[in-house]
Amino acid sequence: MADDKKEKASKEPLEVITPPNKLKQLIGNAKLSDDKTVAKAEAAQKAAVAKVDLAIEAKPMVEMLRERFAWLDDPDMSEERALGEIFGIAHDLRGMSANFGYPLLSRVCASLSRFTDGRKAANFKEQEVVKAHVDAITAVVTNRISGSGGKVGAEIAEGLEAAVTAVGGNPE
Amino acid sequence: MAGFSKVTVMVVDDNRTMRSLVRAILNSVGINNIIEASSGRSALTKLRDNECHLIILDWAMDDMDGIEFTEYLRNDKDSPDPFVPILMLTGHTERMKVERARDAGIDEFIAKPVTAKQLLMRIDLLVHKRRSFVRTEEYFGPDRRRRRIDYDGPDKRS
Repeated sequence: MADDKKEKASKEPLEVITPPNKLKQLIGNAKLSDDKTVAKAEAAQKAAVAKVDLAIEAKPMVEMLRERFAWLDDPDMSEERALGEIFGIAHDLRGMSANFGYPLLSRVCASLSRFTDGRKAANFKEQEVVKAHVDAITAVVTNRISGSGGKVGAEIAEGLEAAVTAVGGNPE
Repeated sequence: MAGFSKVTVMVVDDNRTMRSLVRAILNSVGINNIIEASSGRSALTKLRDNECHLIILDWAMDDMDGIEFTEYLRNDKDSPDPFVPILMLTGHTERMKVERARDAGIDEFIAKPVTAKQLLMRIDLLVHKRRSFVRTEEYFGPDRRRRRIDYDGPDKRS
């Protein structure tokens, strides 16, 4: 199948187009990735990160996450939709928390997004895995556990990751 | 700094905090014309009224995600700019998803968490080494054969 696709691709008529490079026209030969410019940008990034209190930014997302988890017990709500939304929130939080000094939160969210990605239903055990992640995320944000969370943080993350492996990761 | 003040960048992300982080990095190098959008749909609307020289795009968004947005821009007859450079910045780091983004027609890919250095290096690539476009029966976008999209993520799900 893959070979067929490759063969087909290699026989496809190919038109090569070189569009005008407007960025190059405006910027010329200047480079952004020299050491001095990068250092300036890194300082700006650091300052921007310092202005953000992730625990505050993440709070509404955590509330929404808990609400979506409750949907799993609500016969009027679609389980697939609930899991899809849980995945979306975990995915967003994962990206944001890594950038704003909460790597433990990012790790737990990565584990939850891996578990829920593409999942259409969750049995009791699977819901328990989701619940453990949601509770851990709530605890990290509520208690403002920035950084890796030390030994306890590592144990929590490892426990959740082990649960994902034991119960079954991504169903795809 | 050089012609950076003339460059307009659109930052498309449903997360306001992430948009502000990218804005801060761009501002620090003199790129001040920044248009923000919180979904692919909103970005399309804004793109019809504004010329943008670069789009920095998240993947997961409601109301037209980053992949749908890229496919529309590259392929739809009503696209406001099929050739605009697109740099995807996303938490999706799995190789399969990176390849999905490449197949949609993005130019460059950065896995979150983003660093200033990665972002500036990718913009440099788009300025100085942008790939040509190719059109086949099944694909239109940056040439996928000439150079593999730089991949920052792990080899397996993390």
